[in-house]
Amino acid sequence: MDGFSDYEKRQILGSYDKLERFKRGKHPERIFNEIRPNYPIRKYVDVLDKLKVEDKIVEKINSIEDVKKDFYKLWINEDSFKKHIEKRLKLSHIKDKDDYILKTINCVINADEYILAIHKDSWNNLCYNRNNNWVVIFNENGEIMTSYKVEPDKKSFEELHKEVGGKIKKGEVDEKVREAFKRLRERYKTLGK
Amino acid sequence: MKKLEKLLKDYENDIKHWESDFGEGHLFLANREALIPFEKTKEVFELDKKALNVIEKDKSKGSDKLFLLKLRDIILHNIDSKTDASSKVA
Repeated sequence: MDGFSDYEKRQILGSYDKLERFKRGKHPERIFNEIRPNYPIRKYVDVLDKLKVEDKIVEKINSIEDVKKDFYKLWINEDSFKKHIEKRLKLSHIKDKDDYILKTINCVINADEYILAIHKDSWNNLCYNRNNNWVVIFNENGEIMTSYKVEPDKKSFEELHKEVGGKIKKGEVDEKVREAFKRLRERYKTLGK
Repeated sequence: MKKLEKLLKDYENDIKHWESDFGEGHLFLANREALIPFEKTKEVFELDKKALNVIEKDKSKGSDKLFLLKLRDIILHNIDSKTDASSKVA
């Protein structure tokens, strides 16, 4: 937007009110998508699928500076990350936040199964499954939606997505993602030293 | 009985922690489905009513919405069957 005059910016955004919000720091994509949530504008790389979900995951990992402090940035948002930790603590599935971070990282590194649930009218979900014991799920923006302990007596990710009309694709675990998480774990381990 | 207690705890946790697009719609549904054999208990019925409130307020747009719609069907079926049973008694 830098190359445009105020008048042009107003023309692009549609009103002075939106221009004001833009000047207060709101991203233009968010301004547009608030008024048409059902038909959000998307980056051309997403539309043309030039950037695959795995690339988006790696991009996010590479943007992390302080692994411990910034781990929530891999999640949809910080609140969601905190709520997921609270829930796992209450279920006694983790000891603390560090344990949750390591279980999440280790699951992706050691994943032996990769499942993609494709939904026609909803977001796709990508699942990394480790030994049918722990699972990490990403959305199509490459953000972690959840990371949890698998309970054998409950229906699996695959079964439940099929039940709501999702199409399932399975494949090899992406090596770029695995390597990026390995680097993240190395950096995480050296933090305490 | 221990199994039921654990299932109820899981379901209650889902209800307490739910927020839109939390990414756990599939777990919420799985935890409720695991309670189907115990649907006639008072505890499940009470939690169902709470879950229904959560679902009504939910604004999920992604896959979570699909799971919550299915969850709502299960809950409504349980509530309806209990209402039918009470009207027959009356």
